[in-house]
Amino acid sequence: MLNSRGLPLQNDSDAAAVARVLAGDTAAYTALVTKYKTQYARFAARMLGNREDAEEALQDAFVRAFRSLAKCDDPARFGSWLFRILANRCRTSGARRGRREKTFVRDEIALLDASEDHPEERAAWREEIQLALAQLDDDQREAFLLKHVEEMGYEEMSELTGVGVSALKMRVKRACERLRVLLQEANGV
Amino acid sequence: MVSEHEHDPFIEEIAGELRRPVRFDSTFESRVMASLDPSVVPLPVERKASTPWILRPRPFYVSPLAGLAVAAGLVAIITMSVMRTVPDTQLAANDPAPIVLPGNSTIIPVAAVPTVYAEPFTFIDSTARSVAVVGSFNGWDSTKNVLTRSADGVWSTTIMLAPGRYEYQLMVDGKLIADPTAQQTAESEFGAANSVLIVTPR
Repeated sequence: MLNSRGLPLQNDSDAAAVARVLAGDTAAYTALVTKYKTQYARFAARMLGNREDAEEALQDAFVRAFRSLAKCDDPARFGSWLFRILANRCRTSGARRGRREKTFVRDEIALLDASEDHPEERAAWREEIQLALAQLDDDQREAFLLKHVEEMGYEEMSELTGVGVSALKMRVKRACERLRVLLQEANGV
Repeated sequence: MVSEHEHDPFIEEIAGELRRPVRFDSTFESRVMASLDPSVVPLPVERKASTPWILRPRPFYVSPLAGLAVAAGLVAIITMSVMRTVPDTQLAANDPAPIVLPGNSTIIPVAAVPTVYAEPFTFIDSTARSVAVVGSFNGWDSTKNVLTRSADGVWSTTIMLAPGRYEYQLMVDGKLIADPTAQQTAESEFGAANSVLIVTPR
């Protein structure tokens, strides 16, 4: 049983929407896009480090899920299935980006979700976090985001990623240690 | 220790910042839906259209002697699997008739069918062209439980269900509606309420 605090991974209404789409009502897919776009946008943006790549990855994940909807074995867990597609897509994008450029380029993500009434220091801190996150290995970044940002349990993470619990714990541990070093260096601590 | 960071205030501060929502522009949904245009992306096919690889037939060849040996082995395995040996005192009143063997042991056939109950579904509409039941018991698959129409316009079917709570809807001519005869309903995010069926042991 999945018990994520962050991701609504099991839902009978998803099964109803999937049934409608499979019955030919393509418009019913809108409800699923609306339901999952905000939360999954966050994951994709944190994984990929910029909005354009995140939008492209999430749109592609929705299209792939639509094309393969008949293969979704448990429509009540559409959200979980979609998340796996998105996570795989982000890994592929990350690998492509890694070959293209190793260094993270200043991006708008850190500023994108900063509301106007926050001080500049806060925006700068967010940017430092995103820069540090981008320096993690893809596997470590994914594990850290699932554990600490999406607030998933290790069993649930293992189910989603296909990686063993021990390996995931190690990835999260190393990600935390690396983030601490990077951010303390950035702040001259 | 791999769990030392789970309640680390520093890590929690970082995670808190990263939990802030990221908003895509307002055209995102319409762009996704536009890319699902059936002329660009074929509509999903019904589940029945593709057969899982494990169920696909494959030819294989055996000699007559080997075939006989395999058949004999299968008979032995099936015979052993449908019988269990129990002391006389453990026989329930509704178990199948026991067979007494020499040596004071008793064998009974294992019940082949789990405890399920026949639940009738009926819908009256003489103008409907197709009626099916989709629900949590059949994966919301409109091909699994199709109702048949009688001469007087009554659509009906019977589904064998184990005790439990199920949500479902009727699909009438491709449109989902709540079952007008349902005793309970549950809210659904997608318009028509789900009907609720409670199957209890009898």
